[in-house]
Amino acid sequence: MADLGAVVVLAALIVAVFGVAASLIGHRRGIPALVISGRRAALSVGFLVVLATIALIVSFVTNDFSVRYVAERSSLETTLSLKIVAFYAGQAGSLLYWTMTLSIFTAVVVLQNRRRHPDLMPYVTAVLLGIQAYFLFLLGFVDGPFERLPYTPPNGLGMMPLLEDPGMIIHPPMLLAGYMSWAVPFAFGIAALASGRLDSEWIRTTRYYAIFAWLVLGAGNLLGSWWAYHVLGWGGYWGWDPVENAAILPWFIGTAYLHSVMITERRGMLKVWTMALLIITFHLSIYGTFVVRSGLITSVHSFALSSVGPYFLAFLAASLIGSLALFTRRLPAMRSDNEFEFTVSREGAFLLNNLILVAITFATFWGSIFPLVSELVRGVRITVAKPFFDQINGPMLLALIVLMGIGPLLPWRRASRQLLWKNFAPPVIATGVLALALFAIGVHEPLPLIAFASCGFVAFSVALEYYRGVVVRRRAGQTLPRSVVNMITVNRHRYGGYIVHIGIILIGIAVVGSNFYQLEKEVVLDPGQATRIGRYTITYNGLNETALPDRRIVSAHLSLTQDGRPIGEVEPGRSFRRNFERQPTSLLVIRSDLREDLYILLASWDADGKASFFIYVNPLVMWLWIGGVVLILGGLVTIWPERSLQPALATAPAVAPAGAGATADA
Amino acid sequence: MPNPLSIIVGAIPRDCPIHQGQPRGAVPTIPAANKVKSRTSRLYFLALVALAALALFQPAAADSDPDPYSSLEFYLKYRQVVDQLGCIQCVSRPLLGCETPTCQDAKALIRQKLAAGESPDQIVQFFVDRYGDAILLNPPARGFNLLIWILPVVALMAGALAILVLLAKKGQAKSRLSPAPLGDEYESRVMEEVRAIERSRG
Repeated sequence: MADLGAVVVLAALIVAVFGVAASLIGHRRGIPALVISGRRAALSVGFLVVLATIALIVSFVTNDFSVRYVAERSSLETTLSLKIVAFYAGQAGSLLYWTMTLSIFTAVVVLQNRRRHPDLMPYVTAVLLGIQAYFLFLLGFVDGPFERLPYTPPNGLGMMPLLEDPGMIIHPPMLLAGYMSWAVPFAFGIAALASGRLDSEWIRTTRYYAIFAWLVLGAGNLLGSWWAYHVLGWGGYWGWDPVENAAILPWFIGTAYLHSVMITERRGMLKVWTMALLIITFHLSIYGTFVVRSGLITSVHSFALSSVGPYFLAFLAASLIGSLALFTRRLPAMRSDNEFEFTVSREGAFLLNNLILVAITFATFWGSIFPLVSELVRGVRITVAKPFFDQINGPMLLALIVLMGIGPLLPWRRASRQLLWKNFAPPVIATGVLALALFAIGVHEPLPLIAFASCGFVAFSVALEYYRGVVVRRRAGQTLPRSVVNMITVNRHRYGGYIVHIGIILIGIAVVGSNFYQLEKEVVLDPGQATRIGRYTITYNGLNETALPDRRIVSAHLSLTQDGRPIGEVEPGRSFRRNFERQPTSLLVIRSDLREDLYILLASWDADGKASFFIYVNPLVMWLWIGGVVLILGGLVTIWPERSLQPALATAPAVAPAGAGATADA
Repeated sequence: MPNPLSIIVGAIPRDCPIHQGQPRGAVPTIPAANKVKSRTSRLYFLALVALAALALFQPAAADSDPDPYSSLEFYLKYRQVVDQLGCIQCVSRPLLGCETPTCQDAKALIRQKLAAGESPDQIVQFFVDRYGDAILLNPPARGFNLLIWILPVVALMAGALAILVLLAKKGQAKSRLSPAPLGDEYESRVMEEVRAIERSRG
């Protein structure tokens, strides 16, 4: 099977290269048959890459340890479900996975648009196949998963224990799929540049693909932090680690794109800016894909050891230069249809939002590569970690949240003073009351007080938007639930977007709570000894050892009380997997409720049964996961396919009342 | 109770606790043959235990390790030191919350030094002297390193300035638009349908 896989990868590479040439030549020379054959090449590549993936999975399932990639990741004891997903656990496999998802997405896009956009689609096909050809080249000639060992080992090493966790099984593929998905909007952008069709056609077509990419990447980041929190054992969910930064960069800049593209689509402005954001988003996605694997960030030296690093850098450079060349050639064609007025308006808020998001992206990127710059320029190794990113991104993220509250209250183009007063008075007053209430219950430090109040402001402004939309429909005689459903279905983009905003502020509340109010304790206990943290008392009763066929587990028996009431017995521990004794995984104990998490890690122990524990109380972390779910749901609302285009008149009041003011403008 | 220490006596020998699923240091690869494997891994393991014993810090005995929570003043000083330092073994992880034996010993050493009356700055300097600037979570704010803070702020300012200049130029060139409200998608769809009905009638 492995040999079949290797052959199929090469075949796919040839077909992909052919597809690029056929699409471009067919379109340029006006030979429809060639364009069609380019499209079919895209479908064939999809088929071949899926076949190669199946070949690799079969090698795993049949325990073909003569394949190096399989032998280093699987063993006779690895469970079947783990074997099936193990194929993306290493560099070569994750490249194959990336290529597979892109080839499937490409096939879907090509099929969906086969009768549409004759000027754009040949270029879209060519760009997407070009990217795949590059990855197939890596798989075929640089680092393929089908390499044979000179002998067949009787058993494999098994999967790294850290990777066995469900969070690890789903979060890397989600992240990679998120990176990959940005290739599709990018291909449409490049097609628009190459064909000169710079009207809003390509934007309308890519709207759903871009939101989809944003959602998948967002879900990847959320799952990644969930995994870090529940498996790594350092008490946090986000550390501004270089790998995390690489994953959040395209998401930040993609967020800027999703907002600026709204202005471009509605008002025909900021075309240059929007296109630039899209190009940056895609290249940051590629950067994210390869930074994880290349070791570039940790040190120049580990980068040199990576087999794919230099190829990635070459691809990044070539693609960036190519995109920028097209971009500059079309600059004159991307003139605005409308003049931009920087007044107090929705556009103004969007522009500020874009500026801040780009600044956050830049600061995060700069901070991640600064150790590399320092090493190259001065030869001094330094570290840039969480404190820097908190200092520099914290205030900007706060400003972004405030803007999230302001934006929806502003009308497009220009706001009159009365309208501003009418829109802002209710949420601002409510926010003032909230701030006083927060102060009364003990939030006295200025920073968390401001941050919580800002989150509240966003919630009030979204609530006001919903309320007004519902009132208009209620006046038209609709029942309350019906008017809510009707409002959202008629304008999914807008009201789904507000749900996403609510998700973001729930995440914001969790981040503020857990950063400013975390309790931390590193403590050494004798059996029978107890320690207190926050509302909890933790009594250590002694160590237990369990031997399983493929691992040994050492755990500490603890009794917990909360405010003096017993709330149960828990056993945080350590698991020592065969072949991986030096990397014992933590069996964490996390007791969550809506108010706070009690987080216990067994750190070490000695011969007398004395054990050391790291204990944290993390307030409000549950809201991070709730916010994540809300964000995904809101995103799904915006991209849920429209049923049929039934006349709007049949389901909604004739005209929005003039009094609705800003609310009538999406 | 069975002796729980049949596995490992003392602290856990291990690599960097985490580097997003990719521990730094030796990632296991296929050995030449099975028999050799068990012996090498045992040797490797013994060597590690020996290394741990020879580690820079003597494992802190419990009675000589001051309780960091004994007073708020002591705890704040302790956090002041710990929060500036990174994990001894891996890149860009905080020392606080790192449970490798080396890091636990480093934290015990910090507590002892604080109890012995050393100032937080002296202790941080001790670690910088030993491990270089890379042990600090933030690089020292001087010279070339200042660029890390300055550049993002400058970029933000420059962006804001560029927008203002661009708009000021345009504002002069063109008279202002009247504030006519623009409809949302729904509204424009309604209008389209109304027009379509009118057309079909007319």
